Amino acid sequence: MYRDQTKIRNFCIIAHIDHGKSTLADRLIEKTGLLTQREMMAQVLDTMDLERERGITIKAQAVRLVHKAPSGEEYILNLIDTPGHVDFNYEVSRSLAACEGALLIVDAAQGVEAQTLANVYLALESGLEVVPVINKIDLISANPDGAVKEIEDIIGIPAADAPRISAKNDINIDQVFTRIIESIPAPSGDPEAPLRAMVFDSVYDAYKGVMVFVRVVDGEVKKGVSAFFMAVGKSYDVVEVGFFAPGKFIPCDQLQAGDVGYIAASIKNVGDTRPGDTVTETGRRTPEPLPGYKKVNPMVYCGIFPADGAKYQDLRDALDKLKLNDASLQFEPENSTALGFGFRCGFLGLLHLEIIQERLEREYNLDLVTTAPSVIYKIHLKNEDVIELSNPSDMPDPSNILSMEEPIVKAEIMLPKEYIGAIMELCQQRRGEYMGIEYLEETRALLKYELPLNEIIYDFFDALKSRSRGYASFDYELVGYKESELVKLDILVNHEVVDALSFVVHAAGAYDRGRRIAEKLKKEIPRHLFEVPIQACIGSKIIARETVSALRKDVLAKCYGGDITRKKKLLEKQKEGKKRMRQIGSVEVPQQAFMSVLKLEEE
Amino acid sequence: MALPDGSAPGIYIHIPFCLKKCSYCDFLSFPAGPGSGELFRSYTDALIHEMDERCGLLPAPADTIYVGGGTPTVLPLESLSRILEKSFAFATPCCEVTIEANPATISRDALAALRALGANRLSVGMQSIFDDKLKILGRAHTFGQFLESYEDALAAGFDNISLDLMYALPGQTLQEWEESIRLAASLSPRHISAYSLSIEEGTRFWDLAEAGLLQKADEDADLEMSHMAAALLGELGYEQYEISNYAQPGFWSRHNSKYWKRIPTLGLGLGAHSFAGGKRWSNTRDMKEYIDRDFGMRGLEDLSRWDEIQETVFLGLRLNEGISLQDFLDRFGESFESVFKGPLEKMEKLGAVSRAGGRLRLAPRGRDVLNAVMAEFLCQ
Repeated sequence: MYRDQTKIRNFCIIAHIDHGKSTLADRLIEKTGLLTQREMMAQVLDTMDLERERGITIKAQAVRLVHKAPSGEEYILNLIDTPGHVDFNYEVSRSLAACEGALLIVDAAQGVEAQTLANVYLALESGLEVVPVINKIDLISANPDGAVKEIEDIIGIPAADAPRISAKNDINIDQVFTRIIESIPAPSGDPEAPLRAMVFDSVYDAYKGVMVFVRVVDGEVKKGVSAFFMAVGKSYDVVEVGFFAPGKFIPCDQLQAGDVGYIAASIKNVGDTRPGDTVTETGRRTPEPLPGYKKVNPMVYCGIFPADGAKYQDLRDALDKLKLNDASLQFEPENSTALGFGFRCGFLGLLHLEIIQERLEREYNLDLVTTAPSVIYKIHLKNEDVIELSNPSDMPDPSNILSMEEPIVKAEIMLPKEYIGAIMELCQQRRGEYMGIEYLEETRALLKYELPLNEIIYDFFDALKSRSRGYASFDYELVGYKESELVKLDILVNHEVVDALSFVVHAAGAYDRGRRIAEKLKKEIPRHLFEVPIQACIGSKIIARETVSALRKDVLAKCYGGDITRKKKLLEKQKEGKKRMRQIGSVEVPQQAFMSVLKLEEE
Repeated sequence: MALPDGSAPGIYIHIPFCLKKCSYCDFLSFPAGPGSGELFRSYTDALIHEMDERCGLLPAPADTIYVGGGTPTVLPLESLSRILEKSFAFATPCCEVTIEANPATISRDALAALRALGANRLSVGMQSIFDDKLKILGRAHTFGQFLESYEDALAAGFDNISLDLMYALPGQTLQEWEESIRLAASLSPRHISAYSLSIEEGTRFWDLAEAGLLQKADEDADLEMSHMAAALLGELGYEQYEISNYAQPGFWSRHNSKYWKRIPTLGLGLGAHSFAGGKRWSNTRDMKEYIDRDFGMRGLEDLSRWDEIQETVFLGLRLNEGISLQDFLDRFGESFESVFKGPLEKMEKLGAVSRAGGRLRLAPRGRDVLNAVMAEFLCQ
C-alpha cells in the first residue's frame, strides 16, 4: 500500500538573515503538535551553537510535520531548511531540488534583500512554487503593503494575498498552513519505478555512521536493500530508514516516492556521500540519475597552524572530525618555516573559512594562526604545462612562467542609493569591472561588477560594510578565469623570507599592499636588541621597507627586597609571552602579526 | 641555616608614613600628619612586639639595619629611639645602621639624637636641585630645605650620607641633570643613588600619564642622562657598583648589597619582605591586622632551584662586578655556560654581556637594556 502522495508537501523557507526563518519554523513545528510547548527550545532547527550566535544556518536539516487541516485531513509537511549564505550555494540548490515549493519570508519593515533574491531566483529556476509570506507585521515600522509591492515589482510574483503574519507573536500562522496545502504542489513521482532518491545533505552520527538525507523521487527504499550511490559509484546495505522529528531521527519501515527522510547504511565518511548524488537500488538500477549533480570544489585556501606546535595532532583530529560532517572541507599537511607544522585547507568561501576556524577554536579549544587566504591561480609555464596554485609558497620561478590567470566572480551588491558612489569607488580600487546598475525602487539599487576573487577574500566585506554603514549586502558567484598580471609578494623580516606571509597580488597593487604590510608589521613586532628591517619584495626587488628600531633603554631602576618577587612574576609573564612568539631567524614575531596583516585598515 | 658567603643577615624596618605621598611613589606608605600620634604609638608597639617575636629566628646577629619607608623621620624621635634600641639587641656591634630621611622632616637635634643612639648612615631623598622639578615630583621639600637638612646632618655627626637623585623627569634637560649631579657631588656624600623615573601603576603620575597629561622623558633622553650620570659620577670619584648606585671607595650600601647577593634579610613592619632559608615572604599590608599583632607570613614562596638560578642571574647582573661563574657552579652543580648556552652565546654576540676573570658581567650596552637581557636568559 503506497502512501497517498497528495497528502505530502515538501517545502523550504527562503529568507534574509533576521527576517524570521527560524522563528517561523519553530512556530510551524509547535503548531503541528509534535512537540509540547515545554520541549520547544528556541529555534529548534539550528542545532549548532555557532549558528545560533551568528544567526545563520550552516547545515541543511529537515523536519517532518503532521498537520491536521480544518477539513480533518492529515498532511505530511516536510520542511527542509537551507543554508542562507552564498558559500553554500550548491547545498542550497540541492535542498531546493528536494522540494516542490518554497515559502518566501519577507520582513514587513525591511522588504526584499539582495541575498534573498539570489535564492528566490534559484528556487524559481528549479521550478518551485514560491509562496510569499509577510512577517513581522506587528513591528511599528512595518509596511506590509510596501513589502507586497516590492515582491511584485522586484521578483515578479503575485503577493496580494500573501499571509501577513507575526511568527514571533503567533499571528495568522494558520494562513501559512492553508497556503502551503493549497499552493504547493504535491509530489508526483512513480512509486513503482526503480528507486531514485536525491541526496541533499548528510550528517555523521557516532552510532549509526553517516545519515544520508534524501528526497525519494521514484520507487521506495527500506532496510535490507542494497543502495547504490551513482556519482560515488559505491553500494551500501541499508540498515535503517526513517523520518526527521525536530532534533531526532524516527525510524520507519520504508521511504516512498514523495517522502523526505534519511538512510543509514554504515557509511564511515561523509565524503562518500555527495549532495546532489542519486541513490538507486543496486539490484534494480534506474537507467537515469536525477539531474544537477556537480562536485563542489574549494574556492579559497589558507594555512591553519596550531599556535602551540605541540597541538598539531589535536588540530588534525579536530579537522578529521569536522570533515566527517562537512565533505566540502579539504585539508592536507603543510610545513612552514615560520609557523611549523599545520594544514593547507580548502573552503567553499570566506564565510566557510571563518566558520571552520571558529569551530576549531571554540569547539576544539585550539589556538590557531591562520595565513592569508589564497584563491586558485592557473599558471601557464613556458614548457606548456598548466599548474593550479593555491599556496603562494609553491609559486614557480617567474622566469618559467608564461602567463597567469586568476578566478573572476560576478558580484551583485544591493545598496541604498546614497552609497553607490562610495561602493563603486571601492570596486574600482579592487580592480572591478563595472557591469551595470539596476534601480530596484526609488531608494535602492543593484550594482553589478566583475571582480577578481583575490580582491574580495581579504577585507572586502569589512570595507563594503564600513563604506555603506552596514547597508550594502553582497553576493557573488564564480564566472571563470582571466589572464592577469600577477606577482608573488614576499615579506622579509631581518632579511629572511617569512613563507607564511607571502601573497600573490596584482602587479599594480603590489607596491601599496607591500607598504601597508610592512607598516603593519612594524607596529606588531616588538623592539629587539638589534634593528629589525622589514622588507616587501617582488623577486629580488625591494618595494617597501620599514625598520623596527633597536631597543635603546629598558631597565628596572630599583630592585630591593620587595621588588624581587614582583620582578620574578614579570619575567614569568614575559616568558609566557615569548612562548607565543614565532621565531624568524633571531627575530621574535608575535602570532598576532600573522593575523593582523590580513586585515589592513582602509586608508 | 647556612649563611652564603658567611655573611651576616640584615634587618629591614618599614615605617609606612609620610608627610604626603609623592606623585611617583608606589611604596606602601600613608600620609600621616601631626594628629597621628596614637597611630604612631600603636605602630611602634606592634613593631617592637614583632621584633621580639621574630628576630630570635635570625641565624646570626645582623650586621646591617635599614630603617626605610615611607619617611621614617616623620615618626617622633621617641618612637624611633625605641625601635632602634630594640633592634640593636639582634645586631653586631659594628652594624651599619641606615635611616632614610627626607629633608624638612627632621631637626638638627633629632638627627644628633639618632646619631648618638647609634644610627651611622643617612639616606636623604634629595632628588633634584630645582624646585620646579621637586614640585612636579610632589616632594614636600625645597632645595633650600634640603641644603639645611644636609648641614644639620653633618653637624649631627653623620659622615656616611647617601643622596637620592632622579632623572628622566618630565621636562628635565640634560643640563639640569648634570647640574644636579655636580651639586650633589660637591657636597661629598659617600654614596649617590641615581634613579631613572619609572611610572608605576597606582601612582598619581600613572593616572596623569594615562590621561595624557604627563609626558615622560623619551627613551633617548633617558639613555643619554644615564650615560652622562655614569661618566660624570665616575669622574667625580663615585664608582658605579649597581644599575642605579654609586659610591666612594668602600662605601657601598652594605644593606642593599645583601639583596643583590641574596644574603638573608628579615623585613619587619607593615608589608615588609623577608628572605631567609630559601624562602621569601612578606608581612600583611593591612594596618589594622598589623597593629593587632598579625605577623603571619604572606605570599610564602619556597624557592625552587630554577627560582634560585633566576634570582642569582637577575640580581647578580645588576652589580657591576657581575656573577662569579665558579660560585654559580658550586651553588647549582652545573656551569652557567651549560645552563644558559643559547642565550649566553646570543647575548655575547650582541655585545650585551661579557665574560672575564671568571665572572659574567653586563657590557655597557647590556646595562642599557637590562630587562631585555634578563628576558633572554630567564625566558628560555
